[in-house]
Amino acid sequence: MEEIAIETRNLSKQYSQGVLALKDLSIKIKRGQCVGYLGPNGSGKTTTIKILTNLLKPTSGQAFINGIDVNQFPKEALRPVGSLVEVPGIYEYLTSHEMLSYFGKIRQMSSKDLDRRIKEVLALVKLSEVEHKKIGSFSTGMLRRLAIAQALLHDPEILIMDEPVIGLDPKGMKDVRDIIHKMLQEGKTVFLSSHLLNEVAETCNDVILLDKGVVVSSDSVAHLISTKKGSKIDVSFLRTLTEEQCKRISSLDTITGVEPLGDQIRIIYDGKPETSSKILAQIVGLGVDVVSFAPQKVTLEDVYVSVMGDEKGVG
Amino acid sequence: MEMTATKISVIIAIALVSLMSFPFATVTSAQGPGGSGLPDVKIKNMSFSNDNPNENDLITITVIVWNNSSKNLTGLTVTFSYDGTNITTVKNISVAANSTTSVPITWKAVKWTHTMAAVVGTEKAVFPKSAISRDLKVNANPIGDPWTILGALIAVLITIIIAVAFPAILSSTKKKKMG
Amino acid sequence: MLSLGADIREDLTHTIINVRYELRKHFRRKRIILAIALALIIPMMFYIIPKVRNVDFASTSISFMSNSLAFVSYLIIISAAMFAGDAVSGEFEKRTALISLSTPQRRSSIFIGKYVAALLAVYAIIAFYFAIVCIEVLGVYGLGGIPEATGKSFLLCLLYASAAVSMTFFFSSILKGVMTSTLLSFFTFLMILPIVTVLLQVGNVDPWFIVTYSAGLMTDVFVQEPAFSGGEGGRNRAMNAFTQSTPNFTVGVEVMAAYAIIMFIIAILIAVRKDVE
Repeated sequence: MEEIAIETRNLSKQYSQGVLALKDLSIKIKRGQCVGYLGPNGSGKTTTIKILTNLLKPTSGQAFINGIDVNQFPKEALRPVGSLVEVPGIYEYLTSHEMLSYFGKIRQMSSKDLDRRIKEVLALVKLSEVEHKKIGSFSTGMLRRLAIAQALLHDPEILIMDEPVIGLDPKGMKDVRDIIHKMLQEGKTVFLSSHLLNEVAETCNDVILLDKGVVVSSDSVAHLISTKKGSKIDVSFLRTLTEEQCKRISSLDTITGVEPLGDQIRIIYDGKPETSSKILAQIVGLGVDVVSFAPQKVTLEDVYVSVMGDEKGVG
Repeated sequence: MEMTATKISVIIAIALVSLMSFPFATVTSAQGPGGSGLPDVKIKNMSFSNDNPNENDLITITVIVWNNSSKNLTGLTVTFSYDGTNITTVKNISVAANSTTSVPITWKAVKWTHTMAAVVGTEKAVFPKSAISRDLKVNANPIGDPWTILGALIAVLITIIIAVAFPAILSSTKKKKMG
Repeated sequence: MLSLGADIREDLTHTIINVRYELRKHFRRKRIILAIALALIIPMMFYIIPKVRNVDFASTSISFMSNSLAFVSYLIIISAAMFAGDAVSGEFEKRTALISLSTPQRRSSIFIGKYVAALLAVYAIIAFYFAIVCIEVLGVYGLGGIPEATGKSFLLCLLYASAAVSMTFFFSSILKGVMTSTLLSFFTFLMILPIVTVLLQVGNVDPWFIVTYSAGLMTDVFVQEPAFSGGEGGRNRAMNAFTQSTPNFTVGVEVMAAYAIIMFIIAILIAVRKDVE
């Protein structure tokens, strides 16, 4: 079996309006990995996922699933794939059971397996009680969960998801996280795009950051966070700082930046523990009463913002 | 003087009429029933070889031309038509005095009911009072055969089946090319 | 990778699955009720109105049949627009393509399945219409009253329906909106093509290649003498002029088959290449 589950080689996509969504994109996702695909609006994340799921044809380059070219041989390439792209439409005249039966039959599942598996996935996404209800009456959250059920129905080796938790409540989001963790434990591969960086950080081993159709960073979450320069300390004081006191703190040589945070300040520094200790000593030495001194963990959001720049939102 | 002018006019008129009538000398020598100078000739009967033909059948239409005068008539014509549309004109017909002759033609039957007509005349004129007409009902042929339509529907079905199979064949070719 | 035979069998299976689910959609939607209502009410009017008005039915069963089937072409056009109008455009407009096209089945299996389902739905409506008319003929003219040409007319209706569904399917594949493709189909068959036919005839051009002109064969097969009047020659001159404007049978059948096949092929080629943007 191929070690690389998902691969793109010099993938480019130009839309008819002249928009260049992807430019020579080359990524590799190993079997058993969970990779988060991040980038601002219009960076090309959904375009990549659509090419990988045969919804779009690339302008040039290739996309492979288990070494099979998706656009040349989509039937074979997509067999082990469960996918959820954007917010798909619904078959309002079908019940959940009927819709899942359709996809199961397309995937040549036997009737016995199909019935059992439909019950399992509906239980997994908490839709068991509406198995025989018409989809037209479902809420947004229910539709999303049904779409996730469809992606999981055939117990796919590879899960490709675009914004999987849109429309889900916090409980639903946790359920999706749990499903992904379970899949990873079983050695499956997950490739997902999301704007919820905390979700990605908790779920994914690796992230790929995309901007204007080009990869700007690709690394494990842990490594990205650990090498992130400019860590933060949130400091709160007994009394509100005077302007003079703020200036003196900002001018300390161990501090690279200060951000006001309501009645606290956030100090940006080099992230070293000894520097953190020195900063505390220096602030106390200025005669200011410190109530709490809390070094903050670097988050994926910090990494994202530092790589992409402050002006680029996540989406 | 007046009398002389009138006489001269009459003589000239008679001479002119005689000259114009010269080709018909043998025809106009008889008096017609209306006393018009036209020969006493008419069509006595019109018959069809098949009184209930089908569309495109070849039928024989026969008319009996009757010369009721005491002179032999030659150079007659019989003009056949249906619904006012000419079929053909049979020429150089001769009929002996006080006798008949039959004039047949062949016609490819056109569907539906038609008024078949025939009239005697000469190359220069027709004799309306000699005309005869009779209705003839021609059965229309059934339109088309069901096998042609079935064949067309089967062609549509075969196209659909080929459309289903073709992508697999194309894919197989691609796989072979890629080895 | 599957062998060629297994691949084709799988494609056929996928197509059949798509036919079944698409038929389920058609029969669960309200528009089927409209089609059935039209197929029931139109022919019944030809029975009810003479009864209510106390007038005689047509003198022959051929006339009755021919009159009753005069409007079957409208039923075909309406049904084709209803069942095939959203076959391709609906998947993209409603975004169901985001799920259906990312499955391990060929796009051709999906769209051919939708086409066949539309065809079968329209065929069912036509069969229902003919069944109603035949029942009426049996009721009025007794056993043996059903003209021989009924079978031919029915087959011609199926062929014309195939052409109408293919044209509508083509519009559905080139246009983005369901409403647009449905309306364009209506207008093409009910207005544009008939107008073009008349204009061609005015210009002394035989409109043999216009499919709505060929549709006249559906009732022309009931061969009966038109009832014109007008004295000797007048009646039949008028009839002859009339019969000259009806389509040639073989050419008409070939034209309908050509529309059905060519429009279907073009539509499929377009649909399988459409991006889901």
